[in-house]
Parts: sequence; structure tokens; C-alpha cells
Amino acid sequence: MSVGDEMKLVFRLGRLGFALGVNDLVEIREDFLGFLDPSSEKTSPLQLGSLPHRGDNIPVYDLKELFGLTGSGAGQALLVVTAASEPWAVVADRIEGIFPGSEFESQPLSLVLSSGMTRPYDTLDIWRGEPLVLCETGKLQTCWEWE
Amino acid sequence: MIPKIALFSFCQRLYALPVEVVLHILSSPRVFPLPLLPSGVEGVFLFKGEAIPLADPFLEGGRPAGEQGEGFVVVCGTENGLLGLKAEQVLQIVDREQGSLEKIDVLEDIRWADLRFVHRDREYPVLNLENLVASLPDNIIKDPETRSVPAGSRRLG
Repeated sequence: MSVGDEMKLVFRLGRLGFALGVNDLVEIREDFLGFLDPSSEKTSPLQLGSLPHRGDNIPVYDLKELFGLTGSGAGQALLVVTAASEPWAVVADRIEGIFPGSEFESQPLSLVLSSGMTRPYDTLDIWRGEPLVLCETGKLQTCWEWE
Repeated sequence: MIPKIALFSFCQRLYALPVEVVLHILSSPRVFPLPLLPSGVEGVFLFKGEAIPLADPFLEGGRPAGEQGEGFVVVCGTENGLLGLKAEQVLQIVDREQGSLEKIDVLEDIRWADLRFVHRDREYPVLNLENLVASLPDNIIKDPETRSVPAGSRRLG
């Protein structure tokens, strides 16, 4: 297990908790639904549409679909992240907040679960007694390109 | 040679484990769901700061929550790390000589049990945890509507 220095955003999809390093986070928007264009050209089946962002159109991806989560409810917040130079966005159901890296203890997903399978995550962050899925933008980027 | 055998029940079914794989028995730890888990794996629980997968010993996912029963978690050691198995009752620990171990020749409903322990006219499949863990990638939960494997999971190889 390791404790990092980087502050992390904690968000939820349904009741599941996720963590994202703020170094990869560009912006959090709550007013995005009216701006999301679902009819735009999609480069991945996981793409919900595109969104104007700082003079450009960026793809918005469906994290719930990627993680096999069903359940209704439009997301309440849009997280704009950047991997390499191209920003993209995902939708979260709820934002818990941004917390110091010292509150998180990272550990690899148990080999019992990871042996023989590949998933869009392989690390958990233990935060306040709760295991969170650590979202690594490079790994997610690979998933968008996979599809 | 198995010197002692621990006997459990879960959902009105019986199972057994060699005592040397049993490290701890916990009473109903808090379980946290995670995405893209195999069917029969309910989530993880924290044990000494480590997130340990919790499995139904028969890997029968989809059972309504009300039928799962509260009870115990048997923390077991496997080659790939710790694994929790659900148990409603911890029946007893018996010497191997108090019953008979029989090889299961044909595939029965628990394909990760290759032995059964017969004790006082009751049969307990002896779970082979390495086989159980090896079967997990075959048990990835499929979307109930499309029957497709979620986009984020892939079996290696």
C-alpha cells in the first residue's frame, strides 16, 4: 500500500465510489446537459456525444457503460480530464469533493480478481474506510480507443 | 493429507474446507461492491487494511439480497491472495478420520470441488480454492438486458 501526495477527486456512479487524481482534472461542470450534443460523430461506442469546451468540441464518454453499471439517472456533474494533450470528459452522478492525497492508501486489486482478466482499473484507493476505484486517465483513454 | 476439515453451510447447502486454508472467520464485515466483478463475487471487504474479494462458495450470482443471509466470512488463503467465502453457519471442525474423503469423479454442480467429505451421513463438497479462483474469469457478469459482457472487461488470452 502507498500513500500519495496528489490531491484526489472522489465521485460516485450510483453508490460506487471512484477516485481521480486532480493533476488530470481540468474542470468540473454542472451545467453541461443543455450543451451535450449526442448527435455528433462518435469515434467510440462508449461516446455519449460531444461538448463545446474552450473553443473546441471534446468527446464525452460513458463511464457507466465502461464499468458495466446499469441504472438510470442523468449524471449531475461533468468531469473534464486530459490525457496527453487531448481533453475528454466523463459524467459522474455525484461529487464528494477533493481531498488530500494523505487520505488515500493505494493498493493493487487482488490477484484473485485480476488474474486472467483485464479491466479498466487495477488499483483501489482506500479512503475513509471505503475502497474506491482509482481512475487512471491513461488506462481510460486506452479503453475509449479499444472500442 | 488433510488433517482437519472445517464444515460450513451457506444457503442450506453444505461445504468443507481443509483447515489449513482457513485464516480467520469474521462476523458480517461491511461489503463494498466494485464494478466488473465475476458472478458470485459480491464485492470486497477490508481485512487488516486490505480489500479482500468476497465470494459465494457456489458462485451463484444474482441471488436476491434477502436470501443471501447474514452470517460469517471465512478468510482463506489462495495462491493469488486472500479470499473471503460466505457462510451462514460454521458447523464444526473435525478430524479427517471422523469421516471419509471420497474423490468426485464426475462433474457435479460444484466444479471446483474434487473431493467430498462424508461425515455422519452428510456429504460436504471440499472446495478447491485454486480451481474456484481459476473459474472466476468465466463468470463475468453479463448485462441482463443484452446478455453481452460489459465493455470494460476482457478475458486475457
